[in-house]
Order: sequence, then structure tokens, then C-alpha cells
Amino acid sequence: MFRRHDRQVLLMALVVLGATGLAAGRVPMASTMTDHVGRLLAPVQRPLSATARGLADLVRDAREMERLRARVEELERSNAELVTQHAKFVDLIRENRNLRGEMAFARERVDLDLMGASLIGRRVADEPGNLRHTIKLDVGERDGVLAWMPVATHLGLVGQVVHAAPYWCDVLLITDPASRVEGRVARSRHTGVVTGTPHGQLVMRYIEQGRDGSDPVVQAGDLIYTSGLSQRFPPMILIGQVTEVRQSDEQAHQEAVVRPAVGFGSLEVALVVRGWIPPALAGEPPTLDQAAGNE
Amino acid sequence: MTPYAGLLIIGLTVLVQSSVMPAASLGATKPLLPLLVVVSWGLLRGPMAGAWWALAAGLMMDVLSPSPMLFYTLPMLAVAGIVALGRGRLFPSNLLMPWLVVCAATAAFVLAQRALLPLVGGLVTWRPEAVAREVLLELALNALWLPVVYVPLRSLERRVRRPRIEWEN
Repeated sequence: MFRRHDRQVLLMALVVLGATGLAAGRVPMASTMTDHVGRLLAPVQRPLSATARGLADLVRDAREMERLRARVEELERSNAELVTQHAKFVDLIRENRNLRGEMAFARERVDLDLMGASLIGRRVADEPGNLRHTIKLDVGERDGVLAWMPVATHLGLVGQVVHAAPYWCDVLLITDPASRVEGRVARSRHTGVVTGTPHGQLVMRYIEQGRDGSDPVVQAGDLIYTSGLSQRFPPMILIGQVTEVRQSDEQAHQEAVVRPAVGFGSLEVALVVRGWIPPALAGEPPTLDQAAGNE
Repeated sequence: MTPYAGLLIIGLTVLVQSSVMPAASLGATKPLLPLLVVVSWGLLRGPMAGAWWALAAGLMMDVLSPSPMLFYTLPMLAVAGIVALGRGRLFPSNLLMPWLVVCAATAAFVLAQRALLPLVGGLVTWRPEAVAREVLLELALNALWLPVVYVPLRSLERRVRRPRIEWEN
């Protein structure tokens, strides 16, 4: 009755409808299916990813030997200065903790002790396409990872866990177009919202326009940190540095292009910050809109 | 070739795409092996075969991505549509045809995903210079990697091709 061609089209339409049902979330097995598939694939993806990165690093390093030598000398000089500063820093932390304890501060400043508050996760896979920016880490619920936990490195903010399976988790990078991070300009203390773009840039939006004659609200070279205002990320985690300001007198706000502090192309390990649970998320699990900063 | 062999090829391609291809990226852009595989197989075996491979590749990419389902499937089906339009317009032995179809398919894929981004909460601007930069960069990378995918698939297709009767063409 039906030609072979018609049967194939009908079968394809049924598959697409089924996938639409999964997309609409009406089939409860969707998330279980992806969890199991991810668990099966993670042991394969991890060595593949590590091998590919190793080969790419070999090629890159061979070309950059001379530059690396100069960089090593510069870093050795820096290190000597930092050792001295570190001793003073440790003393300041001790004094700060004593004072906070005395004043009954409830929350830790995880930016002061990121390693102690975090779990190390290795990158095993990336988003298959180019418009979204997510990575998979090889730590999951069994390691205490929960959705909505911040992810960072010692260099700066990486993103936020959006899905935690038993053995792996998906991290939405701050360069993803759906990411929203409340940032603060270190110099002027003005705030804005840092969003990603499809080609991996960061743009800080909704920055107040400055007044004539006063210092600029934001300028190239300014450092941008998390503000902590929305309570989705701990405060004072470095996001990046401003490279360009887009300002127009006709607009109510100005924008700044921000270079991320973390090099996402070479990121191999990241820290899932377990030692900080946002007060707003201590009760009911948040919705996707809350994670996207729309609420 | 059995459907299971096709699923295996697509599965391996998607796995390599998520684990290995980030190392071959230029900036934040990496070549799209699943797209190249779908275009190549669609040109070699016909639009229906290309559509099935597009559906399978899209669904597998959706499973590996935290994005909602169909975020990759719908653009991949658009790619299959481009292949169906392109096939038969030029002589099959024309060396330029795979590249031309890859260019059109890449543009369709990028534009379809950009159109879907607001549905997943993404902020997207449609400034011509931003769109052109994304499309051209991805297009260049896909065109460079096309021979790596097309040549082996063409050899495979010749091995598994069943003899055709005149009126089946």
C-alpha cells in the first residue's frame, strides 16, 4: 500500500516526533537515557581527548620554544616577588578569619581558598558544535557535585554546572551565549551582566553610562570580577579584562568586550567549588531560568 | 551496507567530534565532522540515505550536549535538505560539487542553530559582520577537512554499492 519511500518518510517523521516529545520533557526517560549514554562514553572520550590535546601541545610547544624560555625567566623573577607577598597574604587571611569569626560571618570567602573548597575535575569532552560552549568533567554526583555549583580555576571563573550525572557533569562556560554572570568593574565598582557570544567572546552589558567630567565607568584594561549580587557565584572571582568599550550617547547603557581570564582552549582541569552553596538555592532546586539569570 | 554499520560510523564520528576535534579548532571554532559525513554520504548514496544519517547524527549530538533535544537534529535535517537540493544539479563526478554543497550546508547549519539559540536562552545579535565571520570561519575549516571525510567514504561506498539496474538511477 505504501511505497518504500513513503514508509521511510513516515518512519523518519515518527522519530522526529519522538525526539520532540523528549525535547518537551514529557518522556521521563530522556534524562536517564543521556546519563547512561554519557556514563558509557566517558571512559572512551577521556583518553581520546587527552591524546588529541597532547599531540596538539607537542606541535605548539615545538614552535614556541624560544618564547617559552623568555617566559620562564620572567616567571622566575615574578615567583621570587610572590613568595614574599604570600607570607604577608597568609598572615592577612589568618587575621581576616579571626575577625570574621568574631563578627559571626556565615559564608566563607571561597576566592581566598579556592583549592580547599573545590573538587578537581578533568575535561573529557566538549560541546559537539561551535555555537554553544560547554564541557564535560569526569566528576559527578558520586563525588558530591550538584547542578548549579560554580566552576573555576586559579586563573578565574570557568562557568557553572548545569547537569550532574553520577559519574560526570556538564559545565556551561561563561563564553556560552546562554550564560549570565553578574560582574563588577574592580576600579569603579560599577556592575553589569557578562554574557557569552556564539564565537566565544565575553561582553559585559548594562553598564551605567558615566557622567561628563568624571572618571570613566569602564575602560580598556579594567579587571572584571564576580559581584556576588545574584548569589549564583561567589564574589571576587576574576572573570577577565576589558579590551574594548562600546559606548554611544544614544544608548542608556554601555558595553565592554572582556577577554576571559581563563584560556578555555587549553583548559584541562577545573575546580568545582563545592564549599559554597548559594543561599537562594539551599532549598528547592533552581529552574533553568534561574540558572540563566532570568530570575 | 547495514544500518548498524552506518550507526557505528556516525557514532564514532560524533565521539571524535566531541573528544578530538577541539584540539583542531581555530579559536573557538572547530570543524564539524558529522556535517561533513552527512553531506558526503548524501551525495554518494542519495538524499534519503543522507536524511537518515542526518537524523542519527543530530540525535547523537543532542544526547552528548546539555542543550535541549533537536538543537542539533533540526539543523542537521536542514543540511540533508541542502544535499537533496544539490544532488543532481551538477555532474556527480564534478570535483567542485562536494565543496559547493558543504559551503551551502555549513551556512544553513550555522543560521539554523543561530535561529534556535534564543529558545535555549542565548543572546544573539544578527549583525552582518558577526554572522559572516562565524559562517566563513566554519566554512573554511569544513572545506579543509572535507577530503579527509569524503575520500574514505567514497571508497567505502564503492565497496558496498550494489549493482544498479538501469531504471533505478
